[in-house]
Amino acid sequence: MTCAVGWAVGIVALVWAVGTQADEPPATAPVAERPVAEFLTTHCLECHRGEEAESDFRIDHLNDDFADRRAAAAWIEIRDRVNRGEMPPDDKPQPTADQIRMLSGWITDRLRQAEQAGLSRGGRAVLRRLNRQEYTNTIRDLLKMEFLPGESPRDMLPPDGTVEGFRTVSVGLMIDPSLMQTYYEVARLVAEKAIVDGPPEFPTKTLRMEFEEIQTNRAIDYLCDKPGFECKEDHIEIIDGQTRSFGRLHYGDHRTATPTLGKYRVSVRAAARPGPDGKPVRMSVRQQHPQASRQLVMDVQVDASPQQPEVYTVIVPRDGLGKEWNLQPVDEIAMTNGNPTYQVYANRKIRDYGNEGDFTNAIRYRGRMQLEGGHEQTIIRPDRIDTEKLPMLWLDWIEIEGPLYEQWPPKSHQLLLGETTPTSLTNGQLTEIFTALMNRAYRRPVADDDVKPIVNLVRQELDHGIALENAVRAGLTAVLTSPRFLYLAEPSDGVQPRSLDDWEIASRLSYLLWSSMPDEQLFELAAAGKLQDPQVRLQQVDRMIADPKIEGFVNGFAAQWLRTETFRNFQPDDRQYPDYDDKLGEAMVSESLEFFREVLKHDLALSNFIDSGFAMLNERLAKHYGIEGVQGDQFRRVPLPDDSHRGGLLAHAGVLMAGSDGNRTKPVSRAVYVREVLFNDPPDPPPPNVGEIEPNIKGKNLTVRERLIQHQEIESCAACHRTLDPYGLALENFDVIGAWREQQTGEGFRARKAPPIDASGKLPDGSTFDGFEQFRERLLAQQQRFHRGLTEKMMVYALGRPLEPGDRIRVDAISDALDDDSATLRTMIKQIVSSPQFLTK
Amino acid sequence: MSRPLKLSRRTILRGAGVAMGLPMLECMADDQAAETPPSRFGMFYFGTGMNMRQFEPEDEGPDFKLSRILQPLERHRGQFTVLSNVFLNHGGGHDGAYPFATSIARGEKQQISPDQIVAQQHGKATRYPSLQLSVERGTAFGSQALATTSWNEQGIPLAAENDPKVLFDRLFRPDSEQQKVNRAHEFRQRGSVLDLVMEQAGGMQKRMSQVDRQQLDQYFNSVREMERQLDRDVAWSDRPKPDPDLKDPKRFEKSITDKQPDFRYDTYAKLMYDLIALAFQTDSSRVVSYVVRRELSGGVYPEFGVSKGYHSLSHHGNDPRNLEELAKVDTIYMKHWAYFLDRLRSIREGDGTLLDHTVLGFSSGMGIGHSKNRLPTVLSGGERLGVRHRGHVRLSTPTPLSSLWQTMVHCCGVPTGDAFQDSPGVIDDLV
Repeated sequence: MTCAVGWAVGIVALVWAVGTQADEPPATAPVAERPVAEFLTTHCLECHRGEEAESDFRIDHLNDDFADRRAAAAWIEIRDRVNRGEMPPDDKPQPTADQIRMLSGWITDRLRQAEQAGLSRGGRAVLRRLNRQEYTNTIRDLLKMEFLPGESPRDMLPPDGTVEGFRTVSVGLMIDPSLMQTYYEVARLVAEKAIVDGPPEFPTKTLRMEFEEIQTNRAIDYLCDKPGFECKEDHIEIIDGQTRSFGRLHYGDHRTATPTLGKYRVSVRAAARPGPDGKPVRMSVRQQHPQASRQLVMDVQVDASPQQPEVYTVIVPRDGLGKEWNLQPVDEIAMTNGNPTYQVYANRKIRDYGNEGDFTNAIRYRGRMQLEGGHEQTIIRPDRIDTEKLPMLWLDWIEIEGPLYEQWPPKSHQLLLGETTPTSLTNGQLTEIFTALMNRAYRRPVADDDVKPIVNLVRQELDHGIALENAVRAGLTAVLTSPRFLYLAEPSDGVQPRSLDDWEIASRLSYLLWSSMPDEQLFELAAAGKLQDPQVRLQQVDRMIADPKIEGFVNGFAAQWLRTETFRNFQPDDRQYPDYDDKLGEAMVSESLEFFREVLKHDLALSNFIDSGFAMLNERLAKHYGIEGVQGDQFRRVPLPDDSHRGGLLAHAGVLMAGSDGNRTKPVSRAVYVREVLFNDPPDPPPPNVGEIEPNIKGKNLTVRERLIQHQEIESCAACHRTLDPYGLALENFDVIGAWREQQTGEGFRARKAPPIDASGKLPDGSTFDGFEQFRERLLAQQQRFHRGLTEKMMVYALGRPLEPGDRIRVDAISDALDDDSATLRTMIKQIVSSPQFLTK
Repeated sequence: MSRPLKLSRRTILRGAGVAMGLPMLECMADDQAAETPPSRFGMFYFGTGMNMRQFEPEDEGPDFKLSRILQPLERHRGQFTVLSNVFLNHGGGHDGAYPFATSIARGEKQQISPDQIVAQQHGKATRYPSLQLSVERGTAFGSQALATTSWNEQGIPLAAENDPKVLFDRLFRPDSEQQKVNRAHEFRQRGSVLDLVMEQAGGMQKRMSQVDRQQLDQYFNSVREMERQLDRDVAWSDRPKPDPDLKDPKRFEKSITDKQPDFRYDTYAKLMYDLIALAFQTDSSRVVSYVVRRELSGGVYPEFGVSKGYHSLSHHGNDPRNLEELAKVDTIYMKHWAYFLDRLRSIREGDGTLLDHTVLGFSSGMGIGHSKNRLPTVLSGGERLGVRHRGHVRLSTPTPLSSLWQTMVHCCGVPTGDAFQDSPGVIDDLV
């Protein structure tokens, strides 16, 4: 025993070595570290010391420099062994759960510090390149170009690396030879499109088909004989079925109306007669396309009456692969056309709806069946159909106009070469053209010496007999391949931090809020030296938030912060969750982004992320949440009824689905989401080889909660899980696809026998809750923690580097400034852009 | 069917004349005996481990009984060796794709991967020094689901390509006359652009801090590599791309990536393996790395008929259904591996087959249950390069995966020196 005491002194000294001088008196040692030394002395040292140490693992030779890989690995080994309960051995005195948590937490903290120190660039922003979204947006704004799906630089550049959860962090944005090659190729393609040679290859044309032509065309006039399909003198009426374009819409010699990738205006003159239930008629217009997801062109409610038809129009991108056009009324209850099996089908439907208590639909079906001459006991009599009462779609004509050009030559061309392309250009003219371009491309004024090499390159091409357009394209390619375009460069001697100049501030602001280059106004302010003025900067923040380009922040920061890309990682099991479809999945992703946008644009309190009195919904999602009265695909703000469980991020179906595996909920994953996304306080990682909680084995029907609680009873797991799981178990009332449930579902639990959900728990701060609603209240009480977490996240995104201990004071100051219920994203953004971190290189 | 595999020295002298730029001369000098088929190297990553309970054979030796997952390889017995007792030091967990080829943990500065070491020597002779293939484009650096396992000399990940059409066009699509004219202009323009941006980068660098300079070094290195590539392109430009002589060239006319709704993995896997075989056969490249399955994400497709994603299955929790489905998926991947070996063996080369002149190694960043030992490791081919296959070998001491790479590099005739990653040396049992 005497020996052990001696060792204890040694270890305490060893643990102190960080941050203090080894010869300093022990009295100044950080208190928190003494227990670590005591733990090791009490539980490890007896066997793991000296030449004879057990398994050659020597605690007495342990080095606590976590930057040293070997030492870090040894500490990880200690943490994992102890966490798994493998050490100390069973026949030795066992540490308590609190002691294990203390040790494990200390090791994890130190590892994290070492990791962050490894990423550290001395608290300074580091040169970084544009990520692919920023690149794409910058090209859009620089050259006034618009890209259609499939031709945007974003579709050609590889995905970017992520560090600390964000794609703006310098160390994650590397350049390798193959990316460089891609940059060059993308630049050439952009130049190819930006500058045009002569008139468009496909001038805009308008094609029209009058639907009454069907009856005079012998190939298709049979349609007019179909029940539910009436051909009139100057229009057609569809009660059931669909009509097509029958090859009559084609652009010149092409077999399609849409010969090339471009935008097209699709117009249909239509009207409708609603059914007896007053339900409006919807019309869908589709173009056949090899990719099913690209078929739908228009899905619109037709309110115009046949007395006053209207023209319904959309402008959509189409590519050269689309073929025939289809138009039809959208109606889930199809006409039978006299098919007797309908009766069986309809009767089953009526029964199913009745059993589910959905009498509205049961009655609709019965009514429809009777209208079509059917009764429950007799066969259908098509001759008795009273078509006058059935919903009907009235169609006059369809028109396809395109490809549409906003102007020709396009803006990008005019920007460089003017409205009429000159036949030749002098060096003086070239200098003028490229100076204007490069000032904006490099986001600061360029010198003559910068422009000269580009002009020389263009001249050299011209001398080789290359056409003027192509020579200018080569110059443009060079500008877009330049490091001054690809990188956000801020010169520095690397020794003395310096304040950013106006141009640099303009770029930092625009890449933060727009994921793109500064606009004219920012450039003008920079030129006038006004961005040094804090008031001007704040005015700019307001202006920039109001600008449509703020989408760059929603799709950049918000999507990365909320991890919307992970929402649909697991496909829900379609037998257990038949309500799920892709449309719902898409709506889930949109919901969280729409919610962020709403909170941002309307200056709503940050607390809305924890609990809100409204939700952002479209029809599909509202149906999923059981909220009535929302129609159409557009998202809008919907006040939540008192009995709704929604409100706040954690009730977003996407967040909940991300924390499920398609089969069952994963409370631990959900808890990790709460800790990481809301609080930026990641839990200790699980020891290796722990896997997930076991699925139900035959005969044992335990809920996920029961299995997790079992897990917590294992002392070594308890340490972490008791402080983690409650955050996820609180969300157990939401099933795999985020629908509210009162009873256990998933994993084959059957409704009648399934145990009720228990979403109660106790948070690490000691506060208890009886379910989701109370849990949200408890989180609201910890708002400060949320503000801090969000501040840290946004700073990483804004600065493009991990935070360091030196940033702590500023994070404290900003979250203090947000310390009231009216704090908004706007206040937070303004605080960050006013911080020395943001304004210093 | 037998085809000329590599342009012999005579063919080049006869046909190329002026086209013989500097790189060609170098490559010819490298191959002392041009008639000897060259060495080929392939490194393959199957992310998220495998069901090792059904992968590891029980007995050893050449006549070992194939495990369930390895069953599809029965017809290739004698052409491959299963290695047990191999570990990956910083593997286990989902960061394993980072140390896979280099033994360097995620988050640390990377070093050159073995395929690139081989490419430095053998790559000069081919149109493409190396090819990186993957189910995902790019590098995905930063995420656990790395899309590449190749790292250049500066430790920068090398982006991979995932679309067989793009790869096919790059390797084989002949240029039209107009393209040839355009190409001459393009070479000149590319040269001018590279000169120009290099100068700009030089100007930028002067006013930069040390850390920023390190970041910009990536740009310099990349542009330099593009310049080297331009030299190679110029040197190769007058030589027609090889004709792969396909029965059904239409197979490569359509883009296929797993993002498409009508994606079928079976079609895709065969196209990718065919492309590697064709690239080797036509000597378009001698070095390939392929991320067949990424860590963590993907790995399972509707046609496999399993209930969950691969990663979900790997958290099997001892549920027999999960383990069964894992084995089912792994077996599908091994069927495709057998298909790949079929392809390489069907091609005669010298007095053996293409497989005999190709060393292929596959493994993962983890085994089962996220372990860092028990990796699914198999060495295939390379008999004419000095590999001695032994069926199933359970190595007597725990051996790092880097020893497999060292052995493969060694077989390609590239000296590996004394210190190769964390490897204690070439695996003697295999050579």
